[in-house]
Amino acid sequence: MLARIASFGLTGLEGYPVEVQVDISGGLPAFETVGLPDAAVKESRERVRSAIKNTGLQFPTQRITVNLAPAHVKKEGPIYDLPIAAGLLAATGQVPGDVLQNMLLLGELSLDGRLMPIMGVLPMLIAARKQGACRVVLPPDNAQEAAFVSGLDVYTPQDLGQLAKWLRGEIHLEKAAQSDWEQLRLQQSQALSDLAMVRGQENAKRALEIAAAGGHNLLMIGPPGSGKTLLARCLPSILPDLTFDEAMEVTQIHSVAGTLGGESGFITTRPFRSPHHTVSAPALTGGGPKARPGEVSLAHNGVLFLDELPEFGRDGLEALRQPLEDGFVTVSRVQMTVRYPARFMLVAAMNPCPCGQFGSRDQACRCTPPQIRRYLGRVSGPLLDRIDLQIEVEAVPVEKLEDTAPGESSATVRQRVNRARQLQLARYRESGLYCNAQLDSRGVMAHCRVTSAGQNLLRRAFSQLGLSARTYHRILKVARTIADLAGEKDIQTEHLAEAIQYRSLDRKYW
Amino acid sequence: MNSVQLGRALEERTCALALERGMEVLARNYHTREGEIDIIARDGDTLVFIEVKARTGSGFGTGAEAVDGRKQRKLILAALSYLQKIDALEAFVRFDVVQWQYRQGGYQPCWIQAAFEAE
Repeated sequence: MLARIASFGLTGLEGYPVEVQVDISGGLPAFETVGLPDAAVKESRERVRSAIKNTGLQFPTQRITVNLAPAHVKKEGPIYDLPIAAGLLAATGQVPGDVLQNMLLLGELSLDGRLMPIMGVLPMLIAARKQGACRVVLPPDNAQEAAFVSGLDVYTPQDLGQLAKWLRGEIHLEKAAQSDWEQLRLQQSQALSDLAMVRGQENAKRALEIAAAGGHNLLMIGPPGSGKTLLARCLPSILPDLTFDEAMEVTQIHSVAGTLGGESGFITTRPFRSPHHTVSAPALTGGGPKARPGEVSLAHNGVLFLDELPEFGRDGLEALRQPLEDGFVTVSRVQMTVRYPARFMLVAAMNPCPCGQFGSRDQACRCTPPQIRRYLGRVSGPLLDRIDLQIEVEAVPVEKLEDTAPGESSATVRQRVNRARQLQLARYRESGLYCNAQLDSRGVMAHCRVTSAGQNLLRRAFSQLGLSARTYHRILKVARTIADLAGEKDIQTEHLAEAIQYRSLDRKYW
Repeated sequence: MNSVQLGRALEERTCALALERGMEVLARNYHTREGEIDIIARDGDTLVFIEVKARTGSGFGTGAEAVDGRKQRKLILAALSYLQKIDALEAFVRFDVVQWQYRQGGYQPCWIQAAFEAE
């Protein structure tokens, strides 16, 4: 008896259909799995055997051959447990085979027959839906991920026994409910560090607001203890709401990386990734034999925060250049080449020198000039060039610290940020962009027009500061965001002046 | 009673047990170059190769444990040569182990269906 079960596989974020064929024949009893299975797939037979026995079903003692077609792609992970088990039941006539047609099965089995959650469900289902799948059987814990793929009937039996009974028509299974995005988003707003806690630092807060509104990169330089890290931790509380489309992209990446966690299984807030400075370059950009997504991709549509920027390895920092420019990374490994989206907002904090006091108003720096040069030299020019907003965060004077009047709360700032982001979303609806920082040079030409007075100012800044063509475009994008925050349709001279001012820092230190 | 006699006696009782379970015994002590199969029986449409193992104490592990990888390979090869002889390589096949454990003055059977598979 031969049974065929539809399932799915994943290379990076690309899903491809897999047909699980189960054949039961005479001859010496054996359980053979072919079709380039990896270790986890090979182990699947032991889980399937126990799961079938422990749910009171019959495990055949004949010769079993399982083929995962297409046979030339490597199959990984335990996701084929469920289709193999279902195939065995169908091949032995314990469940009707015709019911299983046009049904997609994914899931790991535990020894007692329960369905265990798997990784990468969302990208697989999106691909499956495109290829016309409409009925899916999934582990219950993956239901939330599937709830946003429209047009899919999702069934989530608790265990193999329930599945068999349902397939035989003995019991009724409810379709998993479709979720409402707005509702889910409201549920998950958690308490975050609030900007009101930060005393003083009005300049830095303004820069943070601009960065959040337009998705721009930000560098903060200042002595230790001036509040750089605290400011960065407050950033998530003022980031604009995640749109549904953005959330789909983010959740797909985290689904593949297995970092979804939580109950909902769907990401509703912008990711904030802050890897330690000992992070390796592949961990940052993505890698490993299976080309897993790295921090830059996990921070997609969110923030990648690098505290103590010069302490990061040179390899890692330089590897950031390409994703910062293109918005994606290509991870090439022997087995596969995968492209992951990586449109993140880089936020970095650093001291200006090893002792931290260089350029400070009140404290003396103890470092020698070569020491300072070496320290600053770890952050390369090309990387700096890609950071739109560069600000100094001075130590806060004592009087300011004692000031008990609360500053502006994150909620207020966030309202302004959201308003500015709405303007951008409306403007870029056609082009599939989400914010100003994502504009390419043609987009800059189209959307960042300046007055002739502004043109003059730009020309002067260009020659005086020795700006690059890239910087020119980046200044225009920041100016566009400042104008959006002000609710202005056109970029005014004052917006440009503010944007240019954020680019003068690298002349001071470097 | 020495161990050979004990073995014969227990094989005899296993045959009786097989008949009780509705099987038909086709051959006993089937010798091949690769090894010996204690009992060959037919259970419906399935050929069953039965290995009988006895233990008087638990000092050397249970009888079933004695059917290790090496013994399994021997039995599989012997079964193959039987299947070849009767020209039934595509038949449904099963390997059972029947373990007799000495307990409370007598030998108690434990029938392990589909004890192992050919890899």
